[in-house]
Amino acid sequence: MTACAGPLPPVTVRRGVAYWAGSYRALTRWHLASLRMWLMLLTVVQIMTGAGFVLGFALFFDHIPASAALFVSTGVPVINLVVVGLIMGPQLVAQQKLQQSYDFVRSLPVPQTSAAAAWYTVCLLAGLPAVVVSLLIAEARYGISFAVSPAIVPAVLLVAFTGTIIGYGLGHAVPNPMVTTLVTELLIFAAFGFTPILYPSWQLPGWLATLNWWFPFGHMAVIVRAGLTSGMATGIASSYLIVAAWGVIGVALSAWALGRRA
Amino acid sequence: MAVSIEAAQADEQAAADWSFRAVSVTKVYGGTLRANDAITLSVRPGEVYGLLGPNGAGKTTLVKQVIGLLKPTSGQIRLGPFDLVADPDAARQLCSYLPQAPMPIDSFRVREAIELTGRIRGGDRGAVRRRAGELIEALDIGEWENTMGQRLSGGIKRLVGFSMVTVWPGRVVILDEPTNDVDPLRRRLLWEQIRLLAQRGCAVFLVTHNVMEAEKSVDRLAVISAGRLIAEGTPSSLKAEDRGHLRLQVMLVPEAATPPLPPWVGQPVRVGHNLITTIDEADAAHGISWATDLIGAGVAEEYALGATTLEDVYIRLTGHTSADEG
Amino acid sequence: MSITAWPGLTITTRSGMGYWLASLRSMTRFEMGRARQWAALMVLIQILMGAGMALMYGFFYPQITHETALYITTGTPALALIPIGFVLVPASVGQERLAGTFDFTWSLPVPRSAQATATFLLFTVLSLPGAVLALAVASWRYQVQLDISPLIVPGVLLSALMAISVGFGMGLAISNPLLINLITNALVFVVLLFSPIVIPASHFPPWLLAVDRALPFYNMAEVIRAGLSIGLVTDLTRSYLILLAWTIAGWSMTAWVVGRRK
Repeated sequence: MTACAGPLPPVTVRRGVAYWAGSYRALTRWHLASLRMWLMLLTVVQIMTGAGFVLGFALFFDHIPASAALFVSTGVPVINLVVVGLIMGPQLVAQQKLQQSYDFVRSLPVPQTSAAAAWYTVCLLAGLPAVVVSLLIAEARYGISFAVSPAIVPAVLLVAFTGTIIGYGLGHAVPNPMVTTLVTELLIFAAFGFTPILYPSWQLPGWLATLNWWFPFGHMAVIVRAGLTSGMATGIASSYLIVAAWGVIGVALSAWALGRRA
Repeated sequence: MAVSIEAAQADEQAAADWSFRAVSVTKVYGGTLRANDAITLSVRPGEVYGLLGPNGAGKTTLVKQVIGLLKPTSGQIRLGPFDLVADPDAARQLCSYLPQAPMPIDSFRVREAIELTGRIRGGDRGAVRRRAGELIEALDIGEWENTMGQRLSGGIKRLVGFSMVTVWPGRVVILDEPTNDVDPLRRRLLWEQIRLLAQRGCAVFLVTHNVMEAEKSVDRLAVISAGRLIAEGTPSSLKAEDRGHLRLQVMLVPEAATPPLPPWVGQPVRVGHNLITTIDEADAAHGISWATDLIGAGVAEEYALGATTLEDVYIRLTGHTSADEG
Repeated sequence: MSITAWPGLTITTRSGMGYWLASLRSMTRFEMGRARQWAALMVLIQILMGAGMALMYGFFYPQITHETALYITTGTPALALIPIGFVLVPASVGQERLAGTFDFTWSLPVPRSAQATATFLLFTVLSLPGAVLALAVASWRYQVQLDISPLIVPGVLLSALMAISVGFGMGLAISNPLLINLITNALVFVVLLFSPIVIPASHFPPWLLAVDRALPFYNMAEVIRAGLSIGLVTDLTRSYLILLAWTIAGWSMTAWVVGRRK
């Protein structure tokens, strides 16, 4: 029998910045470890999706017009940034609910915002390599040279944030895991096929283009495009606002879903 | 009102000595389903407190309210000076929770999972590492120290889960079926660790179906049935009513009807083809001859006579045997 | 106490053609009961994805020529059948294995081939209405004249059967449900972008075309297209043969996995 002379359990409740930062660090490591088996496969799938859209799009045309090529190449990064947080995230939560391991994670003593921040960090890391690869492939295939400006940094950070936080909220808010899976499947489909990410919005019927104005996806493409080209994107300021507004909606949804105690 | 003065005095004392108190905790679903009905109990630091009851009795509902995953419809939950209902953040920091379900550690190595959880719970690196090593050795799971979670058997996973939750424990440690799937040898090691936790000053909540183990390991226990706390006390005090009685178990032939019972046989419970009754110690000889007669008549196959156990108390109180559980 | 005290306890085993047919009948009834939960979902997915994709591809083009419209419309049934066979079926198999119901069904005292036949036939029949509906939506949207011939019947039937058989085999071969999800999603993405299902083969580099000819997806589209148009499809026999080969592969995989469980 081994006697364990460990420390007495703590009586103080931690609060404040140090607590937040410590939790953030520990949880980021936790998420990275728990995705370990998937991170490899995920990166491969990400790169395939990015490259797939960039290259596959050209097959729709006999000879793809240069403007279409540029448009799709600057839109694909949005898909790379958003897929993990918006699609994989909710599906992971759904699986946890199915396997009933959801309760343990929710019982960990960390501030909710640090948990969200840790997850965001991991999703961002999972998306960035694919973005770079997609852009490189586009350059090679279409002979494009991107006019990269510092505006790409806030664009990438904001797009990844909004996509991730909406997925976070969805995953935790929807109680039935099967419903979550269905919703995310529909999202992939609708968000990437029926929004002006891969092609300009005038190619959509009028009502659909108007509808898209209210959703973040087309705007995400606009702000990323603004950081990669000069003069091609318009209405940049309003696009930033709308993506940020959806970020706020995601935050509210997450706060509500995680704060409630049934 | 006498109740509130009592409550206030108790609160003061609790604040001073870090007792855990649940006062009239009620959880109602949909206006009618009372998953917990005015449950009141208290646990002192250093106590191992068992929660016994059939499936669906409300044990897990109660502990989920302690850890902040659910919110009581009414009632209070306090730990020392902290109101755990009003401050779920504090609840999670002060309490550790091992859920009944398996841990999500498929892609974690054993030591990694334990150490990371310790860090998340606020422990510093060196102390957590040492403590993790102690637990791994104490529970004899060193063989799997670097194995990935998905390769572990159910029992070992359970022990890893226990270690994750107690590497940096809270003041209250809630263990929901900690010994599930664990092999008998390691099960003993686990109970030793649970006792050590209590000795260090934790208040340990043990939710279990395993009445026999509970009897040997808890200081006090509560029996919960249909949302209500129907009995509380030490194992001996709960068995007090049965003192002077013996347990007579008759294994009937399959599909035989329950035979007519002599007047000195009490509290019969029929489970499958087991007939479990209590008789006075003085009637032991009668009991044996009655059972032998049943065997001779082809109505029964075997009988067993022994001291009453907590299981009998449990059956008497809840109308189920602990083997009825899932 | 003897066993003969229990009425109806079987002590002989059954065999022969009569047994096989009886098993087929009873298993079909059994599967129909279980399929009820899937039927509505299947039709929904097919319409959403099949018709949805048909509409979506139209948006990719600045302007839609008659040829484009024809290709998209005649490719739509394949678009509707692919998600059923390659996403829904593997997912349902994965879920059933997780829930444990799979083992129960396959431990029933019926010959395995009758079992499989019942399942495959049922799913095939269930997948037809959605495919037809998707086609209707596409031809309404693109206003193309279709030349429908009897070839449509074997084309659709074999395509559906192949997709379901291969999907079933895939679902059995991969044990982890999240992995199934990831792979099937990636597969559908890549396939739908890189196969000449709704695009003329002339857009494709020869090496890619060779790969597509070996895979089932392009061939599905071809055999269906042959029943809906005149002169668009060449080398029809080869497509049928490849589909047949894939169907047999799906059956073999199923038989192997289910058999090795002993």
